[in-house]
Amino acid sequence: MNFDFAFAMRIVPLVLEGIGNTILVAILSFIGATVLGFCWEIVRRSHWMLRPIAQFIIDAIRSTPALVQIYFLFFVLPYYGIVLPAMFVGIFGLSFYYSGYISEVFKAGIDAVPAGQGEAAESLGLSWADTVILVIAPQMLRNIAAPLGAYSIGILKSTPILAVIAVPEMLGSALDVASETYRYAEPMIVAGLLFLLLALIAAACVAALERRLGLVSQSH
Amino acid sequence: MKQQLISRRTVLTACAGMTTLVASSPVAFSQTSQSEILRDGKITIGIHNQAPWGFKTMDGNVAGVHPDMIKAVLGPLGIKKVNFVIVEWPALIPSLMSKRIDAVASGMAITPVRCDQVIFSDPDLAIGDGAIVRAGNPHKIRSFEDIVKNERLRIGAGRGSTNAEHAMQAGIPKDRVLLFEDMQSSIAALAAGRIDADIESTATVISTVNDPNLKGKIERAIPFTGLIKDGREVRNFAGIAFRAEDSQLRDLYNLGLAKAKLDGTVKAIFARYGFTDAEIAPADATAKNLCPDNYR
Amino acid sequence: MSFLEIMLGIFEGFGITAEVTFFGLLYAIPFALLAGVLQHFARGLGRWTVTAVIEFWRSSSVIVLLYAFYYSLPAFGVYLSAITVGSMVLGLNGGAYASQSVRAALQALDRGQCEAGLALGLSRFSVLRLVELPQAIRAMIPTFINEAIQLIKGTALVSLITLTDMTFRAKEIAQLSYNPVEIYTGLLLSYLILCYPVTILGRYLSTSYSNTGVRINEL
Repeated sequence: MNFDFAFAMRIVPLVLEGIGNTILVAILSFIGATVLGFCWEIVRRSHWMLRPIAQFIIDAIRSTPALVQIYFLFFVLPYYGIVLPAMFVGIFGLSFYYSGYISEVFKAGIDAVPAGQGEAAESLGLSWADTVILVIAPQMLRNIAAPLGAYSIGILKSTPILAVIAVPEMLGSALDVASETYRYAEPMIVAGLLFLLLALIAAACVAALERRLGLVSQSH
Repeated sequence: MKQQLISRRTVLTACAGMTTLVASSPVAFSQTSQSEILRDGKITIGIHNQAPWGFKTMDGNVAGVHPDMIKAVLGPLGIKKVNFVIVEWPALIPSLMSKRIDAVASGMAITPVRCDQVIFSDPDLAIGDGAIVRAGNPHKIRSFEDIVKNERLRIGAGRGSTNAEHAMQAGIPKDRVLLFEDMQSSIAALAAGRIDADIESTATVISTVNDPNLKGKIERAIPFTGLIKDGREVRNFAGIAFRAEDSQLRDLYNLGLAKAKLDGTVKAIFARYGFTDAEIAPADATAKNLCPDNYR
Repeated sequence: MSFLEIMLGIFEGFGITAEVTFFGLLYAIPFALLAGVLQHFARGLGRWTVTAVIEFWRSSSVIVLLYAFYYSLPAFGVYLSAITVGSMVLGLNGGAYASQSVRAALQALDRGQCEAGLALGLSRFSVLRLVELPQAIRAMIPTFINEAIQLIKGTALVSLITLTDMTFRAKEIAQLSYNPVEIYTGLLLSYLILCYPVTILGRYLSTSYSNTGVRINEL
């Protein structure tokens, strides 16, 4: 067996150097994806002519791999004068990709609030804005909390693809160690285990957050 | 439900089925030993698809100075069939060690760190480091010194390349060096202004700036001084890499290489790819004295 | 190179994309069914083990797992081809997600179905095979279609472990002749051509299977 455990233990701190960026990119991408996804859904519902266009864009985003979209943004945007640091390209790319999925979450969440709620609010004389904010939104939030939580972890697990555009996150750190020493086995296993640990911890945090905010949905 | 729902037999059958599936999946790699290579006359080389070192042509064949060397040197020994696999540069040595390829024939420089993992043939070419910059060389980059001095400059280099190592040894801090998997990524970064210079071997530099698609966008930085050690510019000695256990194959290659150097075959191959006499490795450069501590 | 030549060059990698997708499904579907059923019925240590296996495949980052399996297994003496690594990792990852849908579908079934089957004298396994699974699978078809789409998109990642799929071919062409706009646009288009029809099919099937007849909230 050619696996050097001592070496693997030694490089753990080196691989962990990228964890700060991994978490930062994940959080920013999640915020971006949620905002963008919400916008897509609003646009889709706003005008009957915009619906098929928005639907096509959402389906198209979901039909191409995130990796290819990131490559496209990294290589093609500069041709049109848009040069962004690699990390911004990565965050924008992940936000754009996941916005397609999160718009579907918003769609399902809003649809699941019974129509009777809106009608009851209207008959009580609440304004449109009050209806949305006080009646529909809280119920919608309860519906979307679980899928959004799942997607947040999904985004965290997707951040390593940004290593291909030289973003200094954890997989990139592992690849740096590997290419300097020409030993690939140990850095890759260390990276794999660290990412697994990170995802499990993040999932536990998200679950705890949902419980604390009382957003646990009734159906499980 | 107290009954055994899914009998143990079913589970074991399912697991056996999955294992069979794994074991019988298409195995598409070499995993050959050197005796099999010599007996069957077939070798699988790894290239990283970069001219002039090892690349795939439009019609799907392999070309480049080192694939041609393999064919010229090992052909007379009976190895007529040369298969090739395109692998990204940093993946070449791992692929060699995991038996996915039998030799790296892509202009890999002999360094002590690499000699820890693999063994090399004697070198054939000795190439210096060069730089590609944007047209007009706006930052007047003429050496590693210039880059070290100007703290706003960022450079790119191949991940796992000696060019990157030399740049850092010359004093360029790691956070100003962006590592890329292949040339098209580094050139994209250069053209976009994400880096100000791309450090590659001179041969790669020349080949890249000759791409008609890049006319007017980039140029070679001339003159360019690389890493200076003991008063002389450090050069990259390129050779063929083999697995450590394939020393017999390596020795056979070395014998053939020596012969090919004498009868002019090597010179003809070099000329085909634009290498000059100044870039031929001196006669006293051997893999042994480039890796004195771990030669085997 | 003309755009048409680029597209043809990219589609040279379609064989590998299809192969990895096919073998990935061969891993994903049996694993999803087996793991979902086991997790639904097992108790105690058995259930803990199944959950641990599912969580490992579900919570790991696919790209890191691909690199890890491809580069690290040889150090343990296990030599798998890149296609096996690619299809196994993508398939088991997808199957782990799908197993949760399997479990949810089984849980959502009316207990009365199972009790009626047992009352009729069927063995527990027969009840599962003849009564519960057929109903659950109908609910899971959208999930499996989604899995197929995820797999096709996931094959782009195997370009990073040197498999010559469509993404790898695109990068190969870019090395020959630098032309990122046409090449990467072509690559996006190629995946769109493959996956968009399947996405539409999936959406049509999931809406037709979840006919609730409830009025939608118009915001």
